[in-house]
Amino acid sequence: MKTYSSNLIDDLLDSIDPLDQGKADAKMMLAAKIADAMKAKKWKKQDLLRAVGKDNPSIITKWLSGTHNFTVDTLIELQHALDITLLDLADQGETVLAKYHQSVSQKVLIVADMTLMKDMLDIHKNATTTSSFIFSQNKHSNQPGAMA
Amino acid sequence: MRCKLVKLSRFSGNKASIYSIILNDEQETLLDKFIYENKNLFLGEIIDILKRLITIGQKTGARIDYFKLFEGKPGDGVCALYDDDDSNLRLYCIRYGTQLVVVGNGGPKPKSIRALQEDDKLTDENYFLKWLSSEITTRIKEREICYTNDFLDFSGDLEFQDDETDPLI
Repeated sequence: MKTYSSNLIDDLLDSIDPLDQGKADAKMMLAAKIADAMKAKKWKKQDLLRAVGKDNPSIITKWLSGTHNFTVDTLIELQHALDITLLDLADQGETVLAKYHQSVSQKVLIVADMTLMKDMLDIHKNATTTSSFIFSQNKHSNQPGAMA
Repeated sequence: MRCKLVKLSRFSGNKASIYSIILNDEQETLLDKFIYENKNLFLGEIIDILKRLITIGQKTGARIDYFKLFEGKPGDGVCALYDDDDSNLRLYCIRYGTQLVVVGNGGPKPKSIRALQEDDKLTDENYFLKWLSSEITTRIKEREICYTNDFLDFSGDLEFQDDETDPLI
């Protein structure tokens, strides 16, 4: 099969930022995933409309057209309605959670260290005071005329 | 009038093949003409259309929901690439399942009209694709054109001639 290209098409395609192409890909692939999930559930557009609690049937056509810029809220509603994953946050979430736990446990350790240090200081202070008191008592007791 | 189908290499991939049409002895396809005719006023929309064609060819295939259907006769596959609500351009295509799309020409669709018949340019481009679709269907039935095993390509005689009428005039 002989294929065709032209300078005009080549120049325009070369001018497309890969990031922008990625956005177009994502919109159309999300639409495809939603359409596949509807097919698996044997759902018509009306079924999805009901499941997400919307009124206007044209919104489903728009979602499936691959031109819609979905909000996170809409994606979460669709995930829930269709029982699929459209936003894969699992790895990211675990990392954030682990960092959070690490951070919290470090703070707890620091607080625990500070508490321990404070306790030790108190003990030391008390011990010093006590020993001073004992020392003082002993000192007094060793003096002539002191009470036994 | 003569015309032939050509495969557009930059758009076609393992999900779908994108074809366009060269008329008579011209050097460019109808997609090139569509771009030339509209790039001064609607360059952003043209880029959006090209991006969508790349995604179709290389990532998703020509899923039915990406197209506005029933732009031709029942079952002839003539459709328009779905566009944003606020976009101006309409690009006509013939869709053969999810693996093969023939891209024709189109033009701006004024917001003031509802039916394509209210605009001469859109009517001409649409009618041409209806005629071509009917020719391709006839050849498929007569086994002069067939699909390749992966359904990604046509094989056979992809040149057409209409001696009686010229739908673009």
